[in-house]
Amino acid sequence: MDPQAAKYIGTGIAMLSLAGAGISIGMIGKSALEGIARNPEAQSNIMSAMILAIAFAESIAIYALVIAFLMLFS
Amino acid sequence: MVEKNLAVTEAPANPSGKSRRSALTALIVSALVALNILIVKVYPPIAPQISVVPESVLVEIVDGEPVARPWFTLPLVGPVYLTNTLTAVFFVFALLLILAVAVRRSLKRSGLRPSGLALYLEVILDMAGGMVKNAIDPAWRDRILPFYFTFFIYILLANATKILPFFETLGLAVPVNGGVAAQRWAPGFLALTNRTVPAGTQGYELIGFFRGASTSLNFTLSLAIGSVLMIQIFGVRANGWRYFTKFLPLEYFVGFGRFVLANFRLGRARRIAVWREKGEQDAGAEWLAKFDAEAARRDIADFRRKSGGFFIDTFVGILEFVSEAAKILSFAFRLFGNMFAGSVLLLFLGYMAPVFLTSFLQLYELIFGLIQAFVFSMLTAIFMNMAVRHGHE
Repeated sequence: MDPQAAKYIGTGIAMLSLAGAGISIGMIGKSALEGIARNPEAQSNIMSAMILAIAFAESIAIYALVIAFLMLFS
Repeated sequence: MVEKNLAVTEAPANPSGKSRRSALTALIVSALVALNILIVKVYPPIAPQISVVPESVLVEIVDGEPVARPWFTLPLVGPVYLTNTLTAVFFVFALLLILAVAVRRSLKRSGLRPSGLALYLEVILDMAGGMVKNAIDPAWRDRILPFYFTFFIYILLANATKILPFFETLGLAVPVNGGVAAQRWAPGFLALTNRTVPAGTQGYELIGFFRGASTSLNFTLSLAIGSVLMIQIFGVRANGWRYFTKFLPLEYFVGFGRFVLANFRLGRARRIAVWREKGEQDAGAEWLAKFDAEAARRDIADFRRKSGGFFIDTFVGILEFVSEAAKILSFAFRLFGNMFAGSVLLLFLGYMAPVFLTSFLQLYELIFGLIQAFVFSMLTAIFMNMAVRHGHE
């Protein structure tokens, strides 16, 4: 196989982990919304905790993204 | 001292002023969009060069190819290159210095009631501080929040300067084999075009004077190392050297040493008893006099009781150590990945819709720079809080 093609396929496979990050961000958002709906006064606390949790979940996808970039551009 | 004129007389609300201002904003935005379309017609956009490694600003041409020239050479480290992300960091430093001096001057002039720049900054910092204030131990708030604000402003400026006009597009046009054709607009001033030159002939490539500082892994990694180091220092400041028992459960190791020693001693006592049965009555008498069988048995029982905890805590200590190392990586990669993804997204969107959407992507970039600055500094503050409160749980 052409090494260039293998590079692109590998990049695509690396980005599969976005599915997991998407699911987890969705679950975090769902729980945060439920929390805010039950207790609207706690919105600001829930909001910052939610951003933090999303950042954690997202960072998994970012690792994959960095790997994909390293494969694509070097 | 009581300020007499503290109550500021409010200007009467002007209902038409707000709508006039929004109409003006809409006019400006549509004029900018029209300008964008016009410029794209006259001067077609060029696909940016993307490389993970930042380019050196100091280059020399060897055989028609650009070769990076080291800025200076350190004895042990080797050559140091003046990369365009490093110049961007210097630019951010200069901005921060100017900001600091301006705020100081503004504070001096206005006294207790901040106005102008100091007021703006206070509003921003108040907003940013309000997001984490409740999550941090009140006793340590005054010591943790300065780090939070420092990281926040530094990263925010480093990310926001990235979208300044001409920040990444002004630079050296270096001749390469291949590359794009260039027009000479003025002596010594070349404008690159989007036409690639035929293979084998000489074209040009752009090496920007600046490039968004956080699109370099060096910048983000050094920030992450500084942050994690400060987290450990906070842990030590709050808990003393006991903080490191989080990684290495020292008490268990002492217990384990006592366990081994006690077993050894009991064995020796047993051997002495065997010798005595064989007839050597005074064997090891002085050693036996010092030997405390009760203490040895207690040590063994102690360790047996805690031994489950020993293995669990050693394992947890290893995990803690790994997670501390992973913190550096996740801090560095999160910031780098997000900001680098911005420039890649700009490239790919440029192929799809070069006219209008890229401007909005820049706005998206600005928001993401803000969010990432916030996430980085907030995580630092919260990890610091966790390190400080390590002993109290």
